Amino acid sequence: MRFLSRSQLEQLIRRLAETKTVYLPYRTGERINYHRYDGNVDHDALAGIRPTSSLKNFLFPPSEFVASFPKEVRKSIPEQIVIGPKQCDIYGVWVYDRIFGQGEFQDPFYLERKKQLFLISVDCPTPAESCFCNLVDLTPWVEAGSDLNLTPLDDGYLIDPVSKRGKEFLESKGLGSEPTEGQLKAREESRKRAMARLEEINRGKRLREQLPDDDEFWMEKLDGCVECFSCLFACPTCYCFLLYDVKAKKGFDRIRVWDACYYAAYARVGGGMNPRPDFLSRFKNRFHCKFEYFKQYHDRFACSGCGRCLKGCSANIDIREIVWQ
Amino acid sequence: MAVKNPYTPLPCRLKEVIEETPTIRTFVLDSKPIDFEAGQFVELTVPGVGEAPFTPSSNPNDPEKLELTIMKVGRVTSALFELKPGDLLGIRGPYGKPYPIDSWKGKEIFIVGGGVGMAPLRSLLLALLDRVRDFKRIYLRYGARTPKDIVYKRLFPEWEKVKKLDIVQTVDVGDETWKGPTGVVTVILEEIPVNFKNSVAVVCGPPIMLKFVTMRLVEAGFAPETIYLSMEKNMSCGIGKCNHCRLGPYYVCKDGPVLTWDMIKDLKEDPFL
Repeated sequence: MRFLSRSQLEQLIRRLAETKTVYLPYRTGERINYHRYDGNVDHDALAGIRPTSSLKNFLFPPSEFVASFPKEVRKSIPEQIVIGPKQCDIYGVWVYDRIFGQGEFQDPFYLERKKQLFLISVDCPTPAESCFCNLVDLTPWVEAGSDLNLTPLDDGYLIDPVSKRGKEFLESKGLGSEPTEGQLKAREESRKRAMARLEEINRGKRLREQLPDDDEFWMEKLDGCVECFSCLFACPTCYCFLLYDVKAKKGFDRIRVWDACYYAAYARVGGGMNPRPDFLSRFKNRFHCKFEYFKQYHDRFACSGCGRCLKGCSANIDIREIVWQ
Repeated sequence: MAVKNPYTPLPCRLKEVIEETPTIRTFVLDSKPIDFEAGQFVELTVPGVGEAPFTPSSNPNDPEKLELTIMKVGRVTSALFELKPGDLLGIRGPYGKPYPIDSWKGKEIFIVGGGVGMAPLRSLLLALLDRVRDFKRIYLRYGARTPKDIVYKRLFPEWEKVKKLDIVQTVDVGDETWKGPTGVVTVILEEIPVNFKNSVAVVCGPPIMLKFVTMRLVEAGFAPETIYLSMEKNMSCGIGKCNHCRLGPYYVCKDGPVLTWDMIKDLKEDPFL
């Protein structure tokens, strides 16, 4: 672990950006978003909550060219550095690793993107009202899953190696200084405060033993939904996709695009039968998928508590009111 | 990239198209681009139109060809029906789990098919007949809408000659040529002459038929884990990622496409929708 002053971090990022594409969070009004490094570092945004869009856009983009026919697709994926993801988004990567990076068939595009992506996560010292990572047993700081981690302090940052390549990076650079006792203590206090804040925000919420069965409960919960599906597209753990083909000069190109289980045609088969013909059954399915089915295989929820689904919802549907009580 | 691209189909060509019924055709490929076991499926691409999942209908042990019997129902199948011998197709697979034929040794095998659902069952039947000594007896119960809608009319006479194979067919509505039973397929399931303790049932057909046949088989005495059902689901990737084919905790593409009644009978969702 090392301590970096703000200007030392700025200098490090400037050097990295000389050879690699670097993304980091910038605040615009109320929102924080990833943008390409523009010569400035927004320290306020680095210490803020997760950006509006997640790491999904870097690893599993909304649309990706995955095959061409009859000739095999060739593409090169650039090296990228993303600074700023919080634990909720690092957990999203953990979920995607289970879907795209494991099993008999693996997604080479996801794996290549992941290999080329260097992640510098940041503690989340000031969770917002929409945050609930504590309810899904996560902490507002990262201990695994990124390459390096930054803890914002008043006068700079503590930087920790997380992965093997993060450790090598840190050792090769000889950055900053040995952290002082006071700085270590400041980190401990900052993390404690963040956790206490989450507990305060989500006070009294208890996980339901089981998702309710009765339709009345669900009808009440989905009231006001305009079926915009931003809850699904903004979700760092939603991974549904669709392959579709477009005619090319010779043969065709195959594109993998995000899909959403809320679409009426999502599960419809060729003959017209639809296992989830009404929105109620599709609405329920999302919760069963995230909180029951994924858990059966991976022992954890496909939800990171980032709160994007409720922040983006025009009907103010709060996932916490459904899964917790 | 180190990992093989699972989204790229292999090119293959159409060799022959056999008209089975007015809406069902068998598409014969000019080679066997991929190996499969009975029950596994492939993703077939009509270039520029799209891809859809099908279970081959030919003998998995045939080293030279692969056949798919397909009903015209949607976008991809309609485009398929426009193709001619020599036209280019794409294929990837095989995907899903095969029928556990080895575990059926010494048993009676009770096969029930409806309509184009006979396609994967033909592949299974041919695989079983290749090692017919391994099984006590094989039964085939098949129902179609009318005599015209029966698939493999040219093949049934041959199968009827096989001693260990007991076949009964029915049609919902007969005509002047039809001598057999009439009524939906459950009418020929009133008598199921097997020892339920040493039998398995295999069913493939439209969802409504699957539902009533399953109910009948359970009532007759088959244990839930001995009833193998082909689940038709929307599939995109075929490799357990895209989530379209989800049925409860299962990916039908990866855990199926054949699931036992035991696996799905207590799901919150209706498996036959």
